[in-house]
Amino acid sequence: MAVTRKKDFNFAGIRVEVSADATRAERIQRSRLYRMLRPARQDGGGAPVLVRESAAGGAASPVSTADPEAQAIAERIAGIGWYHTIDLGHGIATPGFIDNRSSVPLFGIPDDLTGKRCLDIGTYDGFWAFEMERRGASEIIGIDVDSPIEHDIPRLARLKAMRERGEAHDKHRQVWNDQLANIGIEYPGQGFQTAKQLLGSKAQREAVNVYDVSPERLGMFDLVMISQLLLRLRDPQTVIENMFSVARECAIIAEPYDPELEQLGRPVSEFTGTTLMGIWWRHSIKSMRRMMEIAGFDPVEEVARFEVENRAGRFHKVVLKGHVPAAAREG
Amino acid sequence: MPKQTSTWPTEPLKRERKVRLGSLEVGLAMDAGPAERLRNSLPYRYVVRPALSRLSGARNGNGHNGNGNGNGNGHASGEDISVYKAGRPAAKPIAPLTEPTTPEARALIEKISGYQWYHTIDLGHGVATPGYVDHRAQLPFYHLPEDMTGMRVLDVATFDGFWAFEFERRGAEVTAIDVASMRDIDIPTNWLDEFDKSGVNHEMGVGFKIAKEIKGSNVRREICSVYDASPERLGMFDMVFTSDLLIHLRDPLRAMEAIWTVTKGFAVFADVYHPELEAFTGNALAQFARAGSGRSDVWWRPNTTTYRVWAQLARFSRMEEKSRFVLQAHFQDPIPKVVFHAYR
Repeated sequence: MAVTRKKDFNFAGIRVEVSADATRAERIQRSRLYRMLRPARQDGGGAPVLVRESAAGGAASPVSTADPEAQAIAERIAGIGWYHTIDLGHGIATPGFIDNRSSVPLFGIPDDLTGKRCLDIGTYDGFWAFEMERRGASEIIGIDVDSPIEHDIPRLARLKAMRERGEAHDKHRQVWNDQLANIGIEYPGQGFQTAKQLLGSKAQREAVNVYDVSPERLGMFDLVMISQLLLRLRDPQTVIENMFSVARECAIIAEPYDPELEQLGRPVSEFTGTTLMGIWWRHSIKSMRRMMEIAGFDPVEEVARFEVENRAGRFHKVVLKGHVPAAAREG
Repeated sequence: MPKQTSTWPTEPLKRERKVRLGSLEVGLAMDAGPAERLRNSLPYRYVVRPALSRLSGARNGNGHNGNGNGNGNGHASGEDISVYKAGRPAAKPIAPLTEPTTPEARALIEKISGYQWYHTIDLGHGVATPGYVDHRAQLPFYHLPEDMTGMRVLDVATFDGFWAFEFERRGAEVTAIDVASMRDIDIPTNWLDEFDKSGVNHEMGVGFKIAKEIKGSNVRREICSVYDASPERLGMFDMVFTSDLLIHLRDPLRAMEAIWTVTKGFAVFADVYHPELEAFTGNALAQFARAGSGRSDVWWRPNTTTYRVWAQLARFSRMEEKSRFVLQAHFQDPIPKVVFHAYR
């Protein structure tokens, strides 16, 4: 596991960003020269950043035949197309498409959520909902759509491209079909409900589209979270505004970003709605930050940047935390 | 849309540079202006640059241009974007109304005063409305049919109605749509409270009504957001026209999809593009609303590739680029426009 440390600071209008592998960075940080020259900590851009490679998940964990409970759990989770890797105890975790377990500390979720009401948007199998509950949240609602038809995807483009290109894109088609199968068309939320039962969780899954999130529909939440969904939405601004409308304290947006776009120094996004994987936009961090600011979050804080590797490939991810200003909270 | 403040460009361009020193990677970013001066200074050219080149070149064998662009995905070099400098001519004052020489002209000027015009519209007797935008001399860029007799035309987001009246003059049967109030424009929900508290009357269509009456026009104006355009609501049109609209929408693709549903012949998309992002021809790039403390009524500023991709997704069978030019308007900064005709 290679870990890289990044640091950026401002020096007379010039932004300097230094990255080095962790051992080397450690050595530099301990050196006397560095401690003498150490740049003053900046607000905003100064957050230390960890880049991490985590192993791709996917394989079911081996089950100890000596533990009957473990075998019972393994039987319960078999046959479900899992999206999240979720620890279920007895040494068993669901064989998910995405394994967030090692990067949880990077998501900026408060350690103590005792008594808090939380919303997990696009909850899927509920990994983040259960994580919030583990931290003491008193009420968690995970929302998701019940049918792939409701997914915000450029259907026409997808179908047309598949028809036209046929064999050439079989691989993509297979991945896409796998994803559709994952949702559990016959039994929406199958993964969530199964994991919920096994964990004895009180988290609720509700079939609500992200575009329909409103205080009237769901009430207000202390923490609102969205992860790995914004890039699949053609109109991310409306969704972030919806998040603001139900947020009492803060919202966490943990999404992939494009480091090349980020380099342009402006809030630039790439429209990729023609791809087969249903990804509408590749965003720069600046774009997402700006969207949150326009939605009303103030300040918007960058919690972490890191690299993720899973079955979908390898990508860069940023965690932004938007705070609800006191004025908006009262109004 | 009314734009009385500068919306272009938005923030200083940054120039970035990455240098690899062994296992250390150092990135520098600064405003493009000072960066340019620094790059041209003698010490930089004769000492710093050769040193950096040698250091980074020797380590990664990639010369001094090792800034992550060598991945062949169509992005132009990082140099291109930071070198671009938009010309910034000083804002032209809006031409004062000509001294009325006839009683008719005097009467016209009285009718049109007291309203802040967006469009410059000829009213006869040597009088034109003092609008922010003057399309009159640039009409040929839009490649519209000279004779529109028998055509049913939709003017989307008509504002003061310049385009609607022009199509009518050419013989078309024109329907113009617009939102009822500034409040219904696609603005952040976060602003609505302030809108409501400001006590300002945000009614749209005041100028349209005045101009329509003076011109004795028969253009039908309906309250309808572009997002809601549908054959059931409006019928079908031989030509659907939009100008400087898509950049003001958070979901331009949805608008283009709605326009497709009412287009029988072709749609004109004449909108603002992003000249710097134009350097990235292979990618559909768009800049999101301007950063900083100022407010912008622009949601997305796309390059022309983005418009093409959107048109394709909105189901237009093909789209032709007709022209590019700088909009004649009383804004501080030049507004580069592109005109597309998209066919059903």
